[in-house]
Parts: sequence; C-alpha cells; structure tokens
Amino acid sequence: MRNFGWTVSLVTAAVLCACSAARLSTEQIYGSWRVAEVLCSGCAGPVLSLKGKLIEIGKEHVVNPVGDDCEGTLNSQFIKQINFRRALMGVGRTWPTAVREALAAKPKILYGFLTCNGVNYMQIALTSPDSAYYFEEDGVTLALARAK
Amino acid sequence: MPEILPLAPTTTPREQLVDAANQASKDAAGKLYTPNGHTIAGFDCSGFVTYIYQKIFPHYLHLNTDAIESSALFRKVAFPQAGDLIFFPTGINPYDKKSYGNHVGIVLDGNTWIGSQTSTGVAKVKMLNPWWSSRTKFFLQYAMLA
Repeated sequence: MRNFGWTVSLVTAAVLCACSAARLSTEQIYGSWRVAEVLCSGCAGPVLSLKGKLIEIGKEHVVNPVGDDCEGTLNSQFIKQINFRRALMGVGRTWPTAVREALAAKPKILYGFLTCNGVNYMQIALTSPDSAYYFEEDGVTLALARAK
Repeated sequence: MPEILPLAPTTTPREQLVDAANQASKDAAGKLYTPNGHTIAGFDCSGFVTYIYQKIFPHYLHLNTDAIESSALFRKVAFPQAGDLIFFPTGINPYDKKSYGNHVGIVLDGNTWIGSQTSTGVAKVKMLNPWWSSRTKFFLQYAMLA
C-alpha cells in the first residue's frame, strides 16, 4: 500500500513537471496581440500611445501599427527555444530590467526573429501562449498580451 | 557561322547596390545587430554599408557613421536615388524623447531603405516607419554614383 502511495506521488510529480515544462510552439506567435505595456525607461511622447494598439500577425500578412506592416510570407524558422538564464548572458543583457524580472521565472522561452519575405522583421520573445515581448529600437520593449 | 553568345544584361551600380543589399538581407536573416560587425555573421549600421558598397566599389574603405557624415566622398542630396545613403544624425527622437546616436542605411527605392538596426539586425524599413520617420534625416550620395 505504501508503495502504491509513492507511485501515485511520483506519477503526479512527473505530470506536473511535464506540464510546467511544456514546450511553447512557434505557431502560438501567430494571431492577434495587444500592446499591454510600453517598457521604456525615460520615454515620453507618442511612443507611450502605443499601449492598447493591436498587432495582427498572420502567416502572409502582418498589421503592425508599431512598425511596418508585412505583405508576404512570415516565417518563424529563426525563433528557437532558449534558456532564459543563458539568454541573460547574451542578448538578454540589453533587455529592460522589467523584462528580465518578468522572465526570471520562465525556464524556457521562444526567442528570435520573425522574418518577412526572408528578411528579419520582428525580434520577439514568446513567454507563454498569451504573453510575449516585442523588442523595438534601443531597448524599448512592448509587452504583448493575446487579444481574445 | 560563329556562335553568338548571349550577353548578360548590364545593370547600373545603383541597381547592383540594391541587388547586393537585398541578397545580404536574406543571408543575414536571423542574425542580431552586432556592434562593430561587418560580416554576414553580424553587422552594425556602417559595417553593413561598407559590406554592400565594397561589393560594387572594391576600393571603398570602411567609414564609421561619424566619418560618413563628414567625408568629402559623400554629398547631401535633396532627392535620393536607390543606392544613396539615408543618414540619421545624433539627436533626440521626438517619438520617445530619447537621445540617439548616428545611424545610416541604404536607400532601396522611394518607399524603403535597408540597414542594420539594433532591434532587427539587417532589415528593410519603410520611409514612413513611425519610429524612424520621426527622426531628423538627410540623404547622402557617394561620389562614384554622382
């Protein structure tokens, strides 16, 4: 009986572990996103009005009021799963503190470039199916929330 | 009867610059902006200009952004053509009220320029991009394109 209890505990732990480490999919990048927050130390001016804007990422079209629209083929081949702690030693060094703190609890994220017609287009980090970060010029970062 | 060989279509240096920039943008896909970078593995903005210009003008020597701005090899033009440079001088971007350093890219056509930006690496940018169009800019023509 005691062994059965241990087995149940181990299986439960294994399932919980598997769920929390579930891999994000690049497919989850596509869809509608709303700018939930503009992360920019010392920023003022029109950039702050980006909050609330809707970005539509389709596979053949992007409506992007933040940057340029994309007319053509979107590709996520350069978006890879990365270890956040390792990222902090590289590209993540330039990310705003708020982003680094928010990501600290995420062991794995999807990060990289979406391309438009084979050319770099958006630098993005997907942290859950419903949250992402869009990295803009000189450290300005937009926190994105899935638009329902 | 001697065989007549088809001649390859000739292209102008400006067209060659655009072709080279388009090809490099595909080759550099997935790569980050790299300070002082001047290869496909990673470019900074002037490194990208050097890489493309040297493809067409092998004697072009690398100039950083400050040197491009002050070089006698470039002159300001009011109406840019493909292959000219688009130059963003140091200043404050009214879009976010932050100060930025120089930046340079290559004009592809009347609607688009290309460069290596910190946010995207090598990427194409619309002239009306809300971020970049807010900054002061001017256009420079290389002496060999005059």
